[in-house]
Amino acid sequence: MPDTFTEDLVALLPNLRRFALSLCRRHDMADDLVQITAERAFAARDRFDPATRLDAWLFRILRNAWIDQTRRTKTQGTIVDIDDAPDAATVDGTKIAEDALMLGAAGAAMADLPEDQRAVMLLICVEELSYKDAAEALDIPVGTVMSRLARARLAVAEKLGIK
Amino acid sequence: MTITDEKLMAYADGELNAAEAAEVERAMAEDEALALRVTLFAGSRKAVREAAMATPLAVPEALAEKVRALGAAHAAGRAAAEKAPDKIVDLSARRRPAGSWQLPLAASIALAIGAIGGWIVAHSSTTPAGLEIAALGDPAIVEALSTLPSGERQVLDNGNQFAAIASFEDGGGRFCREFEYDQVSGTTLVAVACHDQTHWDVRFAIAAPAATPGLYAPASSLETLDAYLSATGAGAPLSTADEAAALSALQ
Repeated sequence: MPDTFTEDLVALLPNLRRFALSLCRRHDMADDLVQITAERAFAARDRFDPATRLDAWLFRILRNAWIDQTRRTKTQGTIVDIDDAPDAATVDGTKIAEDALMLGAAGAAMADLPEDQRAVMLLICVEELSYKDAAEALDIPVGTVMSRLARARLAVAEKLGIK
Repeated sequence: MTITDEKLMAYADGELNAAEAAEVERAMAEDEALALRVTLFAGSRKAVREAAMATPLAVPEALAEKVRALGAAHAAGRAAAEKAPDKIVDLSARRRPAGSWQLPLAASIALAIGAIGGWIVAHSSTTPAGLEIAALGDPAIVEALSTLPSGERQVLDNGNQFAAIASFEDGGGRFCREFEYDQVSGTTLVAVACHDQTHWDVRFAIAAPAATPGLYAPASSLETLDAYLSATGAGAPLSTADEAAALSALQ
């Protein structure tokens, strides 16, 4: 059987990078996250179940790598739940210039979402993961995915004037 | 009966089973507000998806290259592992006594195979002793290699210590021994010698600063050794009985 794991992973780099950008909103950090994700994926590839979606599995690795990074940068050493952590864009008190995750008004509306809502929105509405796959990628219950997603959807709909 | 936003959204996303979907449809038929709410969920998804699709996704070529290189490196490692699946040695089991090498990593390895120039030289089999590497030329080492059971340590006449670590067969079926040679100079040699018909060949040697007198070599040199053992298809350490048989066969 030809080994397509590397090719499959490389093909998903744009999606990984988009997810990374949605989390940290900085290109340099996003690239680092993607590389760490790739390293971890190669090291753990025997644990990947080919019957499942590779992208969902990679998103989970990336999200965990992001949590590791945000924890590491906390100088106090206290672990802050990701839901309580301030957005990376304001983490050091200064507003970091946002890289365009998405163009247009919808992109702006996405950028205004809290990080946890933006993540479910991206995984489900852009990457088209199921609620279940998104829940596994983010390590949260499906019910939490749904409530975050519903809030995000209503907020975006309102900003865009969808009626 | 009320229908939650989550359920309406799940309906819009096609996440409901047939029975749940039918239930939402009945409710929407009775309440136009619910139908509008579903439109709102469907519209937000569509808008976000379209915005994402309209935004080019660039990945820096350097990043893609790094990932391809990582993939190639891992593929090579896997191919090597598949080639000799039963030759993978649990190297942690090789060390004893346990815990003795839980030492701070020595930052540097003085000499590594492939980078030591003339240190490991083409041996000449004309010399009966066979061991020509400078520090390993001592006949007492040859004697110890041929007699000392693994796990034992012997102080040689010159004050240096020889520790037999393990015996195994290499990929070519040769009887090989991993040993350490702790020199009073403070340098420990971690080495592998294989017996080739009449003499011992040093196949691998690495010099590391001794961590603590009387203890085994620092872990960093062992990583290099492990890589060497894997690459040469080294088998699992021989049992005490097998080793004793192999040693007596040398006499």
